[in-house]
Amino acid sequence: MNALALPQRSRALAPLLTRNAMIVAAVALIVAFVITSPVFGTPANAANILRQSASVLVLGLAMTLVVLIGGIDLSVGSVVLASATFSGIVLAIGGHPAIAVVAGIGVGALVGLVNAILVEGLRISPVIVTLGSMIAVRGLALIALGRFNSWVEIKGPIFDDLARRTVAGIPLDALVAILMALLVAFVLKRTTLGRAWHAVGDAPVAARLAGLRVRRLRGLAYVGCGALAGLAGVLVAARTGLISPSVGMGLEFFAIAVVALGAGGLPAGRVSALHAVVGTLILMMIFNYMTIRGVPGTWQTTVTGLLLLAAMVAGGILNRRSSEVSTGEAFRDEYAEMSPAGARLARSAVLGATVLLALVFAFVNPRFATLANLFALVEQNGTLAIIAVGAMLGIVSRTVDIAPGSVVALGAVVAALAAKAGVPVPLALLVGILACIAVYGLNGLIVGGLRLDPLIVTLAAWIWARGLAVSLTGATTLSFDMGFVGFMNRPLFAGFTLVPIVIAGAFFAGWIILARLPLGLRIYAVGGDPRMLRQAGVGEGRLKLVILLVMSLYTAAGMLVMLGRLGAAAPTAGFGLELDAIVAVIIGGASFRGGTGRLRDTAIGVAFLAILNNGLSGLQMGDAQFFLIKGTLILAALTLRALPAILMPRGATR
Amino acid sequence: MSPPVLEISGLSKRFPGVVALDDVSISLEAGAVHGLVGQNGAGKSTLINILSGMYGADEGSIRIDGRPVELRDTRQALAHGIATVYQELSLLPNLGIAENLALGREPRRLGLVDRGAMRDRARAALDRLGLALDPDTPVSRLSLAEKQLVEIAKALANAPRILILDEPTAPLGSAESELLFAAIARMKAEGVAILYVSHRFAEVLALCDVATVLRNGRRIVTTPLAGWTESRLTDAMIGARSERFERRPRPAGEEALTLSGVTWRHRLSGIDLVARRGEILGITGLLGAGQNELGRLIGGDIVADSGTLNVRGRVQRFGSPADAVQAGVCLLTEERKAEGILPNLSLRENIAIASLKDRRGPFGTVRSGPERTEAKREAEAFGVVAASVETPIRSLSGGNQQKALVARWHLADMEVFVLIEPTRGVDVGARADIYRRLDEMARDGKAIIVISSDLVEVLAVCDRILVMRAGRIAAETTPEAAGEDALNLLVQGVEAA
Repeated sequence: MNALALPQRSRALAPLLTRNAMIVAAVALIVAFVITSPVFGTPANAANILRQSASVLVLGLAMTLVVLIGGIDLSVGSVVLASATFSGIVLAIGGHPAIAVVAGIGVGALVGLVNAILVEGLRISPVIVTLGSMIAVRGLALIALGRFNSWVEIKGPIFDDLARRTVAGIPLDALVAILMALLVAFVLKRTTLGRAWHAVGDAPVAARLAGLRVRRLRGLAYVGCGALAGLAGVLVAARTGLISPSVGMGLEFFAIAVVALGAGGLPAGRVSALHAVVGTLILMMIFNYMTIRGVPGTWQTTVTGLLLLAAMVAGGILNRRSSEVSTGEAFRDEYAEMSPAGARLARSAVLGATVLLALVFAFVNPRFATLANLFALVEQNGTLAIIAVGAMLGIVSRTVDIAPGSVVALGAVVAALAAKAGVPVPLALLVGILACIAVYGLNGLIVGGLRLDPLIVTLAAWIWARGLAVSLTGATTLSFDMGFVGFMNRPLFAGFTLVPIVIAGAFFAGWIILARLPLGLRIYAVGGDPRMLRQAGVGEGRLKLVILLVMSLYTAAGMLVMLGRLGAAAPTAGFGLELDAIVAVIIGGASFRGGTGRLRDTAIGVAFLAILNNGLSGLQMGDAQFFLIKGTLILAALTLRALPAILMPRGATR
Repeated sequence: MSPPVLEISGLSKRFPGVVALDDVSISLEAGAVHGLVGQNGAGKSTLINILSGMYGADEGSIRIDGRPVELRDTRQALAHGIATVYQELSLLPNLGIAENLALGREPRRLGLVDRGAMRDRARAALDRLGLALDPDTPVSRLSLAEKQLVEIAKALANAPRILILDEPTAPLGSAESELLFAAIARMKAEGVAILYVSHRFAEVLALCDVATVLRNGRRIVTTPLAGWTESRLTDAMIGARSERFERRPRPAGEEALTLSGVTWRHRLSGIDLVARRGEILGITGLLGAGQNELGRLIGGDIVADSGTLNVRGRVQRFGSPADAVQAGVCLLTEERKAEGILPNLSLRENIAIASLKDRRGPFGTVRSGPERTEAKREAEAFGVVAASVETPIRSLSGGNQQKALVARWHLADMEVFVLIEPTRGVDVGARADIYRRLDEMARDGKAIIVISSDLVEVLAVCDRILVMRAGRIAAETTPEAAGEDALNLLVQGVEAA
């Protein structure tokens, strides 16, 4: 009896379309663009698109590897800068171009290895780790670049070829990118490694029980991702011909977007090289069309973020109807459960580190331990402290938000624009606050309605809100009403302004929410085990919306403080704020898996970062050193926090 | 006469490949305890989940006090006064007892949680159980038995009219069980209708006024329990199973795997066992007796705290399942959906995943020709019914998925097979199929360990049976020496006899 001979082939069109929706979209885009623009379809323009696509495609392929295994890498943009810088330096000191290429790829692989060790070895969330390495690697590269007066010229046989040669009409760097796509496709589809990666991404627990070494395999994907990002850096170096500090900025946005555009979200275990190719084509065609139509380049990031959001929403809706099952949530993260002794140890270690840090700064900088500096420290870090409370609510309830930095910038820009258009200042501020609430409300509706992971949804907002802030201002800084600035900076008591009061208010409100409101219980419950909440008859979707709306109030308050301090709305403001806020909460002992965390521990985490920010800025160092030291210290603090969890696991439960 | 408090009639529920409930009707009376008895997979959990609003039924109606109701979600079930104590603990370890009890129905004053009222309410619920615990104690500090009692207190705090208890005594000792029984007696006197689900027949006979026996999703009998004995219940529960598998004697070979003095946390202690080639070793016990943990330990999923594990004469220390697989030991857990299949991968890929190395071509490629033929061969040998080997495994029935998983390890040439609840959620036909393959593999010289709480299964397929109680191996027997009754008594423990 042949058990396998049941004829069940149904050729329904719908699933076929679902699976290849993005290819259909790409074709539709090409047709629409060719019809509406005479320039778009010309061979010269096609070559142009290919040329612009090369490095983005390679970055997309890099991201494909980590998304496939259920991770993410936000450091790829910084790796591009580092790779371009170091290959440029090799050329500048007379090294062979081939060595320069190898150096660029090697730098990327090395960063990937560090990410792998932190994510898989120490089990810290990839979002946090790679946000940290994003900052540290950028700092490292900028320091190296600083030695060469902040710009390095790229000249050499291989690099010139990459930039100028064409083979059969195809630019050489585009050809390299296409070859890489084929290589990645080959590895993923045809090799045992690719098969194992699919298994690990699809169902990590099952893969482990099938005898796969899951952590090692996932770590390898980070190394592969780093190496490919390094190659993208080499391509960028060849194409730009001149390495400056702005290289690679925001490229991580594009990398994530192209994968999501091709795959309709970031589904672990299911993305492929083809998705990256299709996504890159869609994105770059849209950019190209925008340029042809005269849309300013500042709108690119906004469009990227909104496309990412649209792709995820579409993917979420389609997936809800299709029979595909998802087992792992995106970027699954596990701090091993800690024994109470381990938790105490970790807590005192962090407290000790905070004190030590303060002592070190007091030692190297006589002005650090002064009353004046204490005021400055509090004022400087007001926004962070306020937003950290919101971040804590999010982390405890497994509603992690990585967009606050971008939303702060957007809110401030909107308020400044409103004021500029003649709206009275209080109303303008209200408009800014409403903008913040609107972003979170939208995220909340998507998270609650489609059951998408908040991390991915806010990732899109991280990109589009920042992009919108840039687009709306044309990448310039807008000044704000001096009356408000004066109000926010006027000393109220003992030399303090309104800021410490707002901080205290934020913490007090956080305490009320967590300890005194029914919402607080539910925040702990939904983060600890959503199943229990369901048994108790509480709907998860609506709860997540409420939580995000509460968080939006914190972000809005942070925005007001920042606007008052800076006296201006800069579209770049709040850069890295999301990392600071999340790290403060995590260093303070909350688990990224949700369900645990205390407000006073978050306060310690905030103190650590505030001292770090203030101490480093007091040393009058450049951005480069600042980024490097800060990124490294953050990763070190996270390691300190994570180690007891691994060395002293909890004994009672499995 | 007033209508029954809860009346369900003609309830049916189907899952892909399995009919979980088939036209079941039961009614609960006020002030009476109704026992619900059945093997794993008989439909008890499905019934509980429908009554507590976790999911809906396909057919049938539910009436409360004679009025038809719809239980679309847990909130509605709670609103109708149905409280459920689930088998798995559902307490949040980082919160206090009072907070756990209040979740979802927090007492409020001016919008804030009224902590005093919350504590009082918890205090009252704990008192009803006769528990002297401080309501502010974090749940993580409680013992397992205390947690279970708090779980029950949580259900009582709702002042339910209908109380569903699913294996409530599994983690309890006899003293704690007495607390529960006293509380049940009080609830009964207060007119609460109780549905009592348990494998422990002594309890069912002592506590319940009426009992319903489910088998394969169907109601076999609903009867007053006067005059019933444990063995009569066993017969009703197991029935004359038509798919009963004829076991022919197999010669046992050399020792394939031995454990000595193995302990793990507080759940396993002093485990010694030997599994031989050519033999199917059964391990059984009540829920929570430690048999599943033992299986996971042998398969490398959890790491022993002490003791030695020996595979074919070599001392091994498995730090992960990968280590176990390297030594030729494989594990299939009871969580097939979450821990077995790779849902979105094809049947071929699922079968091939554990033996990729054996078909590695140049540049680390998968030799796809051999992979296809071998996967196809295994799928056919194990009777997997699928449109083709390229079908995603998630679309297969539970039984076919399970066969594919066994095929996976057979292809990987494992020596020792550990299968936890191998036929849970598997339809009757596939069940017999799986037993036949296990028999063939044993005859082929493999050592097979079947861990199951299904007594018929253990008696049907195993050569030797170890019975576990409270983390220890309490007895060893054979199907020849022990019938269903005798084995059930061993499993229930001496005090139940």
